[in-house]
Amino acid sequence: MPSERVQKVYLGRRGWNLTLVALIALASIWASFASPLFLHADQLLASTGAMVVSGVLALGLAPVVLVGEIDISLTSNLAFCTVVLGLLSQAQVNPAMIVLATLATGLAFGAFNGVLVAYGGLPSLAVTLGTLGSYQGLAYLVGGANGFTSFPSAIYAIGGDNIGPVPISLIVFAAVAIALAVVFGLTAIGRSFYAVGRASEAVRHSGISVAGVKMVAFCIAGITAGLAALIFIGQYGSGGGDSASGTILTVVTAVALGGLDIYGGAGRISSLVLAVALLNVIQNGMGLVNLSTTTQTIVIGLVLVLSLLVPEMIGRLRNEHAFANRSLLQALRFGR
Amino acid sequence: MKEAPAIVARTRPALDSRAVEGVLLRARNLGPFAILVVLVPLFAVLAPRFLLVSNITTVLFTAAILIIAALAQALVVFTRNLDLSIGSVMAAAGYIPALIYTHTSAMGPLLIPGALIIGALFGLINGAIVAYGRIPSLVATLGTLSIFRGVVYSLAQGEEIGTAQQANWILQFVAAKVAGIPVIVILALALTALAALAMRHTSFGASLYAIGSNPRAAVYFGLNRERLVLGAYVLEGALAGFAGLLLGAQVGTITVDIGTGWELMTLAAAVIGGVSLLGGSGTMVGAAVGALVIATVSNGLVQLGLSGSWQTLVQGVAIVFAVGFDVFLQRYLLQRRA
Repeated sequence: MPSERVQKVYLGRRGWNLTLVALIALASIWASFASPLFLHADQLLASTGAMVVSGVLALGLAPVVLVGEIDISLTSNLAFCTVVLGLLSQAQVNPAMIVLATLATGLAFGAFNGVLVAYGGLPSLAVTLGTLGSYQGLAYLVGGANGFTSFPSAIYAIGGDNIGPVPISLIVFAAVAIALAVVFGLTAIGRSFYAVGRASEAVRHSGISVAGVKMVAFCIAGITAGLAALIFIGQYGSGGGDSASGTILTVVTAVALGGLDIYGGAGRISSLVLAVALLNVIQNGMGLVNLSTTTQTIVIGLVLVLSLLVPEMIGRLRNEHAFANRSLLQALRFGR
Repeated sequence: MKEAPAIVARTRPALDSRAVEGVLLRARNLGPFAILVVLVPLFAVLAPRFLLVSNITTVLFTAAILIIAALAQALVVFTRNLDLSIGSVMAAAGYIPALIYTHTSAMGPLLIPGALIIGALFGLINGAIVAYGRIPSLVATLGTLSIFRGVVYSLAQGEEIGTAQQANWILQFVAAKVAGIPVIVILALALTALAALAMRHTSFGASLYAIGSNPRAAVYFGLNRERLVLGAYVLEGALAGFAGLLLGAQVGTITVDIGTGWELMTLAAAVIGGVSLLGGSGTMVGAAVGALVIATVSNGLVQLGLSGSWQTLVQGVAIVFAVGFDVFLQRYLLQRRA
């Protein structure tokens, strides 16, 4: 068992959650002043629909980023999963089987990335860039240019229906988030992900299979792509090669805003959930005041760049500060 | 400096191992040519129209702009970075000068400098974020991909620029032929030669390779990594901007979606051409040949009546394969030298 201190060091950036909560509060205040429609429970719950697909994908991307890799093929994986959904729906397969098959498809495509990266030793950036194109190309080839528009009502329910006032998709998101938070925050298996991301060489010598951990990370990402595909159908009512294309920006933004170290080894699921919530408030607010989707995209892009740049700059300043203090200390010690 | 013969003899490794390495490295560089040698007869047999002179001209015509964009992409890939926003940079540099021209014809002679400046400016933004912000280029340019495209969208307000609204000279220039060869093909070849010579014979070129092949060693050696990467991005942006301008003139009607998907196309071209995504290796000539391969494949697939989705698939698979080969090669060479 690592000591309390060690755990704290690798979990996440100090004060990040607090910053996110403050930003959510600020964004909510802005949104409620900008539009009288914002502060209504129904509206707020309904607005999560626009973010939940990206949110689930971001949760899946988290383990991959924690081990120091990246998967930008997730949205193409999702697109292919919606094609599988469409084909099986057309063939009138039992909805439960459809759900299983979709998750399995996502898992298989995620595992394909994983094998190339973890066991083949290829850089994930290049592999998933390639599969980003390949999976989407496949989705178009198998699903045709027009895609699918009819699905069983049980499938629609996952992304479209509510239990009481709460959307089912939000419950799914929460369940995945809690599961991942428990695994990464409390278990030894979860800690091995952080360890691989921080010092894979040291981990290798400690007897944990680095390749195995990376493989699992890509598999988790793949399953969430299948899960997100199921939600996507309920949200948008159609599936095909163009499903969720362009969403990868929001997914990566959520992960970066969530304070996950893009070089691996640090970050909390709770921060990621707060980041998804913040993005949701921002997007909801922008939608309510009728900002064009173009402006919204620019804003999300800016958020991505800033959420990477700001902590980097703060970290550098803090280092310089620490360095200055250290040299001052040294100067005092040597009596200069 | 005097060279003692003994030192020369000592630095020469055993012949057989060097021969194997040479063959492998040469295979990587000659790969794109080999692909062409296989593909051209294949398409010629499957699609009889493929080898018509008119069709070959079409291939070269479409390849020319891709070659210029691939040279641009290769420039940053040499430094172990990449630019996903290249399509958006091309769009901005193609759209904005043309938009200004619709308001004032005084822009006419300034289209090329305009495109170069806009491209260089966006390259500067990318370079600053990647080099000085120390943000991985994949994530940084994923963000700027949307930001730059968003800028084009907001400036365009949904309007497209028709052929009639474009400056005549640029339309004529893009369509012009000298002795049956499109001028832009000659231009692309000239730029390739220029870029190849620059990479080979200038210290800037050598420094880019050094940064890409071992960033830490390059810094210890005294190279300014930040400034060099920034420089690579600025040049890349300017070159991509030029390609965007030509693309706008070539398609005639400039829509806000122009250049979409070019990030994958240029990366596939560079990577097929032997420019390693691991940085530090490959040549400009290779990138250009890679672009020719992509253009040939696209044309061949169209001739065979296959949809554009095949192209995306092929480009994606090509990237994975090329990287697989590079990693294998790197590992093999390291093992031999150890």
